[in-house]
Amino acid sequence: MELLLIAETIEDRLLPSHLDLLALAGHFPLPAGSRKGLLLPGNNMAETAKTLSETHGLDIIVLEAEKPDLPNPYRLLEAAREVVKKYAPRFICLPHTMRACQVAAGLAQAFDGACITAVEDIRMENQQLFFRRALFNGKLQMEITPLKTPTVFTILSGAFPFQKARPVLNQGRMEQAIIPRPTARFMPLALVSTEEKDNVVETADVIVAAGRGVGKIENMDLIRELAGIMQNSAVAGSRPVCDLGWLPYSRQIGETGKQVGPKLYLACGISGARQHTMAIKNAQTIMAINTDSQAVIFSVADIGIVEDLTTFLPLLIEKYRQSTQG
Amino acid sequence: MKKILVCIKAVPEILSPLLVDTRIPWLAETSLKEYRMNRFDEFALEEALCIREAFPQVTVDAVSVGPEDVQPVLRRAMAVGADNAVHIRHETQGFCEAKQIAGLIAAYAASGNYDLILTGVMAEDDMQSLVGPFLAAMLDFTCATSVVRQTIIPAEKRIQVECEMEGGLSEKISLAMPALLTIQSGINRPRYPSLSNMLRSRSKQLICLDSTGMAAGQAEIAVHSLGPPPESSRCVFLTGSAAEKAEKLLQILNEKSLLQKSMGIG
Repeated sequence: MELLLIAETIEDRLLPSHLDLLALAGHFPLPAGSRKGLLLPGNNMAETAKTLSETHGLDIIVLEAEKPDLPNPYRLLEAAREVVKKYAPRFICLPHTMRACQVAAGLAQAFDGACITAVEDIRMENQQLFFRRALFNGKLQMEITPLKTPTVFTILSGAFPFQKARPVLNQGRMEQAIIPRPTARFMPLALVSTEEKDNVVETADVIVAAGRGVGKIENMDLIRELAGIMQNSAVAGSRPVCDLGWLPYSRQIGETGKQVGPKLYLACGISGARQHTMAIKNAQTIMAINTDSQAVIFSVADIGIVEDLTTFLPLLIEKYRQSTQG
Repeated sequence: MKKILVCIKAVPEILSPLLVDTRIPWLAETSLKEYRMNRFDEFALEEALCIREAFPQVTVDAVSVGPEDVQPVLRRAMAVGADNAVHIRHETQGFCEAKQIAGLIAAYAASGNYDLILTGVMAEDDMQSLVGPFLAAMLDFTCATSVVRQTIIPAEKRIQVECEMEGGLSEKISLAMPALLTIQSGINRPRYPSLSNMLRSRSKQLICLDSTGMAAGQAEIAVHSLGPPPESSRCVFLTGSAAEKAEKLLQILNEKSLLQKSMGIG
């Protein structure tokens, strides 16, 4: 097998990230006729497996698990090791999540392979593969060539353009394997929901979002004041701002927080890490205010302002007040 | 439950403009200000110190791999409260492979009788999220990533953790120790070192080891290029003085009918 995709499921639900894997499979430069497989952990997956094998020509390996069948990386790693041993894929691809990175590192270690995480693009030149990934929150990017086989890599959500499913000539094979029972060393216990019931950001037309560039908690008042001059607005923030306790996690925008699509997203002092910007891609307009003209947020913004928040926001609010008091 | 190891990375504080020395390739000297503790590792260190407060017999060691520059960061770890700091001296320029770093830490930690190893969920600079999982695999420790809560059950030599996933879900897991956890930000509020501890840490000895002769393993990847991403032409920057920019911005907001009150109407 040339390429093995490892899908993520939660309680037998296939996660949307499998679409990224399918897109990758279509994009990945492999010789025609190469075998591509998909590892599908979860129970009652037969129907899904059949569809994917018919529409994408993938060999599907369903990993049935005895309860509790949580999306557990440690157990998935144990099971995936057996599959990799059997099929010896040259490339193994997972979605980029922390638990998938755990599986990726475990496989690279077990099979003495190369490991590359958070891949944004892959290209082939002179029979050599180049994997592109970001550093320093996207301020730099690097291209990496793997020197070992298998190459295990994780891909960012949305990195590869989705492809329409279409019937293929050669339907893939299907097989079942069993995830071993959890051992006493490692017991998945339960899934817990941590979401707070606060849906202000989901329903707002305007989101004014604060990043670490806000500097100190006192300056959050400026953010609130700015939100106050706009209609149906909400205050939100990046992860570091919530970690500092300046905002509750229910207001966190990002991969591990909320994904939003307001009319206007106004990013104040947000550097623009990929984990953040992926969650605002449905915003109609993105504006960004940042002191650093090289901040990555400007690469996704429609309108950019290079200014210091602590001086610019009071000025902006004052000008608004003047203009409305005519 | 006696010993905890915290793996700390010294990450460069970068200066604008961000320039690359293409010969290495890595950041040009002019874009490098100083090294500081990776923010995610600050949470890992704090969590170790919280555990020591609950189990006072516990020793907390900090370890970091890198050139001389990592020493101030290790001193800070001691100033914050680590009992010992281990510097694995590794003279490399540029991007470091996670597997090699993990290999060096594993070579040290294998004989350390650690019950628990903590590290940040990722490094702020290269954002690989790999050193922790590699280290766990090398040492055959149980492993949990993106941990947002932990409870130690000393009598059973187990630790119960909650691992953050996307969509507001966490997975609760029970692990046998020795275990390795990668710590997610926000699990605690990292403390600042007191001035007296800062001063005291300066006189403390670092344990220095040399990576030469430690099995770091063969290179598994080669860096082909490093540089800034191509500029996106989409963003329109407002120009002029701050006051002019404010006026232009208000005008745009007004046109989009997003302001509370329309301008000029009152």
